Amino acid sequence: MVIIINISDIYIFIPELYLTLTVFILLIYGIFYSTNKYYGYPILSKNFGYLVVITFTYILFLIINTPDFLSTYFPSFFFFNNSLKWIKTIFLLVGICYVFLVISNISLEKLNVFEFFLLFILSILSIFLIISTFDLLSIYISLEMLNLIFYVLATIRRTSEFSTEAGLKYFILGVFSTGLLLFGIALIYGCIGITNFIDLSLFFQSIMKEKSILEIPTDLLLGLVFISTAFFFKLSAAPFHMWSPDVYEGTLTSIITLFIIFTKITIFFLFINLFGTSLFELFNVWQKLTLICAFFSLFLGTFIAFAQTKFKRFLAYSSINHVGFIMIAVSSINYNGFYSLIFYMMIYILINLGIFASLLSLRNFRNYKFNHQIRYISEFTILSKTHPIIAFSILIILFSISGIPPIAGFFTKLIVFLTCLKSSLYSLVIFAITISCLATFYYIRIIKIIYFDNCNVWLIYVPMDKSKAFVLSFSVLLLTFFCLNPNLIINSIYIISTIN
Amino acid sequence: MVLSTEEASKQVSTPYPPIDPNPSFTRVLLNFKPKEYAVVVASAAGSAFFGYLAGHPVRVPSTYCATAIGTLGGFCYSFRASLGRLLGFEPNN
Repeated sequence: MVIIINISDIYIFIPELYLTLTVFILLIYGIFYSTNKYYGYPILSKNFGYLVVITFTYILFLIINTPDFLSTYFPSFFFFNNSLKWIKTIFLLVGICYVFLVISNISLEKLNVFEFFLLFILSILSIFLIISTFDLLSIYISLEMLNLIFYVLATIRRTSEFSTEAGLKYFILGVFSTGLLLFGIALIYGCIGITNFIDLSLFFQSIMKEKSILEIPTDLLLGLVFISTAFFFKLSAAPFHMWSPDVYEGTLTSIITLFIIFTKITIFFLFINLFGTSLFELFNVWQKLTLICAFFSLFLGTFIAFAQTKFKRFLAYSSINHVGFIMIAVSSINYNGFYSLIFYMMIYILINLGIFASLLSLRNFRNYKFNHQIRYISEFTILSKTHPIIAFSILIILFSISGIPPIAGFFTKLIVFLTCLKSSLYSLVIFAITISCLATFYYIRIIKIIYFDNCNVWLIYVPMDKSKAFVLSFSVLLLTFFCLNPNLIINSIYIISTIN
Repeated sequence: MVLSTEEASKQVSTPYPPIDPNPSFTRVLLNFKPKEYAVVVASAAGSAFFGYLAGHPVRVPSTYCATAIGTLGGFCYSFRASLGRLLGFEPNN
């Protein structure tokens, strides 16, 4: 097999090429100057953060100025269309917000390694490749690139046993899920000899005209099951969620933001690319798998979260709950299913940016020497007295997560439920509404702890810096005033979900 | 799967007629407009300024690094604009 790379492929690939070359420049700069005796072995982490923002600004400029067209490249391993342009733009904007969130925390956590931001840039590159994949092989390669980066990031705090344990758990279970993915791809290729999405789509369209689901070879269906199981593993969807609370608890809070926001959004886009287009004809098979996982995610994510006392584990189960809602949207066959999915993910990003902006700013200034991130939910008791604005912001965000109107989170759940009703999934909607009401309990419990509990220990928190304040205010304002002008977000999501 | 250059270049339909469906690197560089040279210079200068501001504790090396990043970014933008005109993705009167 000879693959010729045409120069028109380079034309489409220029943003990713620029990202790669920037990583080389930053790596050489970091190696030379972090070990430079003349400058006193400087700590370059903050400097790297600002250079990453400059890089992302240029890539944003490159991507926004890409002309509108539809094409595959390299050849047919990746694709490009207009909606991908806007999805990449959103990832970059979220990436810039993420850098603002963590840039001061890096020095407070004493994580004085410039490689952190290099790995972050590489993770954005791998995300761009994942959402552009058009072949089963390129799924594996780009997904594995992201996984390897995240394994390293999970253990980046080398002096911490918790971090090492979390990274090791993430690595072992991640490798296991990648094995499932590869086995599924191998089964499909072994059965029909096709890996390209368009070829898969044409194959299944032709075969489903003549045969029913029961007549399809078992290997093919098993391959589908293994691939979807691997994706559910990566999403930490129940019943494949066991690793996520332990990994999130042991990893730095700055890095959990990456896991919760970027990984889930990326895998869901990949899921839509593969299952919503090329494997669309087998909808009756993968819809059942998605519905089972949605049921378990909603159930376990709600009831196990009741027992959590640590905030990171609580966030892990909350994200499992969110994954359940997103999978309900995925299970809905019609166009509105994709629209509600993208809408839910946009608001999910805003919610998580806000919650992590609050969480990362709450550092306990104990003994004026040692400071650590807030760990337990009970440590919120002092918040309404010492930081009333942060407390109010957390209140808005928790109202949004629990779906209380008129905050934006209510509309996301409403649109997901309406989409399911259109697809005749009535029992699932009733179950999801019940679970949503029950889940409201543990979100409201945090608000009760913040505003109504007596504080026995008066903790001193480090003041919030401007970059986190900017992200938090952006998130809270959009969530709160979404109801005043919903067309601002809805029309943009409509454009992204309909073009090409 | 064997693709000839001709077949590969025909895979994409362009909104404008292509001048050269498979231009060389040198031809793309020679097709730069003055505006594109200005973009390279402006991006280098702008990045140098921000690199100096954000360069604590190593302002001068940070300026050099940011200049390199900015120059590369401006060059990528200009290269793509020039290549797009030759391939027919962008207006090429």
